[in-house]
Amino acid sequence: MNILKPSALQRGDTVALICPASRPFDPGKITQSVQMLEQQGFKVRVGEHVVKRNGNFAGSDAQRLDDFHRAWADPDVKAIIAERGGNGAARLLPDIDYDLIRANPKILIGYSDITALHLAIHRKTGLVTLHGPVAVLSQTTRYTFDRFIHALTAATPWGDIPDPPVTQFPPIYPPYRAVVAPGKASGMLTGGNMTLIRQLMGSPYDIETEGRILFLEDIGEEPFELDMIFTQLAHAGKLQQAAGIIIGVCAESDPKGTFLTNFSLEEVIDQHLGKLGIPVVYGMRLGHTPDQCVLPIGVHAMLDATTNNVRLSIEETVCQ
Amino acid sequence: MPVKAPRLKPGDTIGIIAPGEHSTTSSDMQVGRALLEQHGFRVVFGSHVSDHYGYLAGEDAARADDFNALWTDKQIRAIFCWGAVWGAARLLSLIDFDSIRRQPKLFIGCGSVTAIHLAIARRADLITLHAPDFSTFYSSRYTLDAFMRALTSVEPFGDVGQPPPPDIPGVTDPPLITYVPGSASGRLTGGNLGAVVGSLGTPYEIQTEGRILFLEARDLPTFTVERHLTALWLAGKLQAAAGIVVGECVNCVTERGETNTFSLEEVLENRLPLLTVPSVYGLRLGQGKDTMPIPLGAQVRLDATARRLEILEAAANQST
Repeated sequence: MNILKPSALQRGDTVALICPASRPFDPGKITQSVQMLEQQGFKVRVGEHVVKRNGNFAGSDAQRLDDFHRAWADPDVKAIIAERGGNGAARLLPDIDYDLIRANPKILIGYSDITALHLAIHRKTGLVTLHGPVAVLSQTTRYTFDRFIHALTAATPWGDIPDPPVTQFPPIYPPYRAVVAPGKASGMLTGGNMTLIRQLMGSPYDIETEGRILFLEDIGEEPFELDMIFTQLAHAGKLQQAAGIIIGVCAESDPKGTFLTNFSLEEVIDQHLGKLGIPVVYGMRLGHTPDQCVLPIGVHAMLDATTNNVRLSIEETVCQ
Repeated sequence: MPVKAPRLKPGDTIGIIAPGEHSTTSSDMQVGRALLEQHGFRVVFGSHVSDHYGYLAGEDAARADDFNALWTDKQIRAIFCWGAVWGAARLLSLIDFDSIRRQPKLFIGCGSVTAIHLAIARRADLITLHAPDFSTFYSSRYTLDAFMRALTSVEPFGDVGQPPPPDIPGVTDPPLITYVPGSASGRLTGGNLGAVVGSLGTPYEIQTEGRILFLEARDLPTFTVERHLTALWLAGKLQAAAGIVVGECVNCVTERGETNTFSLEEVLENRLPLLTVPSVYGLRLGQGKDTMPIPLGAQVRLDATARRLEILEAAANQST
């Protein structure tokens, strides 16, 4: 695959703020995101249809696609920032103009439902995209905000991805980077939200994991639901082919008690990932969690889980 | 040509397995057994049906042992699944498909057991019975009668999904909806929406080309129904089908706390009319109180204009 890298943002650059999936819960959140980006020295173009309402989508498929394509086609726009995830991005995939993206490589950042765009764009164009906060959740903590701005603006290799400081007692569970299976791996990073990875299975956009470091997260899925996704990924060979696996935070995944006995999320992770013979780490702060790092899709990384002091480092440039 | 199992006769033995979750109601065992015995059958339980391993009825190897042991037992003429929520897909790599090919039997189940139906279709091309599970086959007189007929008859099932109307004056069943008119014939495939999506990208992936695709769901929020339909569409499965029948979607409602979302009918309206494939919604097939078994793999005719599905074959043939 021919890897394309976007250019890092500089102060004074223009960014596009769009809603390719759901609309914001409150339209005022858009204002908040615009103010934040302007305070950071960027000019902001807000997609025309961001507050359109079509069920839980921000407008019709055609309207969301229109905002998306305009952002890629606009030569002034240097980065595309998803205001939020939600639902609906996968519906756009077959109609996306991938040649337009290939001809205009630029930053795309978001997570959760935006995983659909990351995986499809990566497969179809080789462009490096950023799995990280959506604008509406970019200011949840100082750590998250710093990683967000760093990802947009850094033109040098990111090096070690730091954990957030522990600022709360008791600390939020799970522990940072618990070793499920020890080892060391290097490979291109890929991954995202498990529900979205499932949604693309068997399609022309489905995730490629061979020789890669796969990162996964989800929200609101009970252990038996994540078990279902792991089972599908295992049957498809996607887990066994990976060089290493990082499970982020799977928020709101506590069993709701419909069974007499149950599995915890960690038991499900251990059953599916514990014996693959590759390093597996659980609890990294990515996904639906207040402290959230950014991971680039399509960039080479090194995962060292030989000790409890787990390192994930990126020694090549992400944005140029 | 697909293979058919011999029909059941009085005195035949039915084997009960729990391929997925364990039961939460132990009295179901006595009720189901007594009913089957009343109808002249003998009942044998797999040795692990009462095991608990997390939410599963025993470890994968134990559940698979039950499946394979009962299938190879010449005295047992049908395999009837207990449980339909989750876990059946975990058995797929442990199932002995050779013995299924050697000894065709009636295989009966629904919900998550769709994973096994699809795998048997791929590996043994055996017609299987999508029918309520061991704890729900007597949920109404209509359901029980249709169930017993399906096990024992060699006559084509005929028109499906027409239970008697409610007996409260003024109350009517919700109307059937045609999304795309037209008619089509083909072999029936499908089952539970989540399990069908769970097959995508795996060696057990559903084949829909030229077939009538049946889908039902239970306890899914409407946005998940939308995700799953989009997944099938991205994988080309909806477009390839000759016709689409959406049966009953039990308790598929908007999730608490969600804003601006779609109803189930709106979710279907947002996808099915965009296809050219004839489609209909609302036949009483699936996991509702009134449902009838349908033979997966058998020839059927869908008349979406008249909102009729006719099963042109029986599930079983004359026993020798």
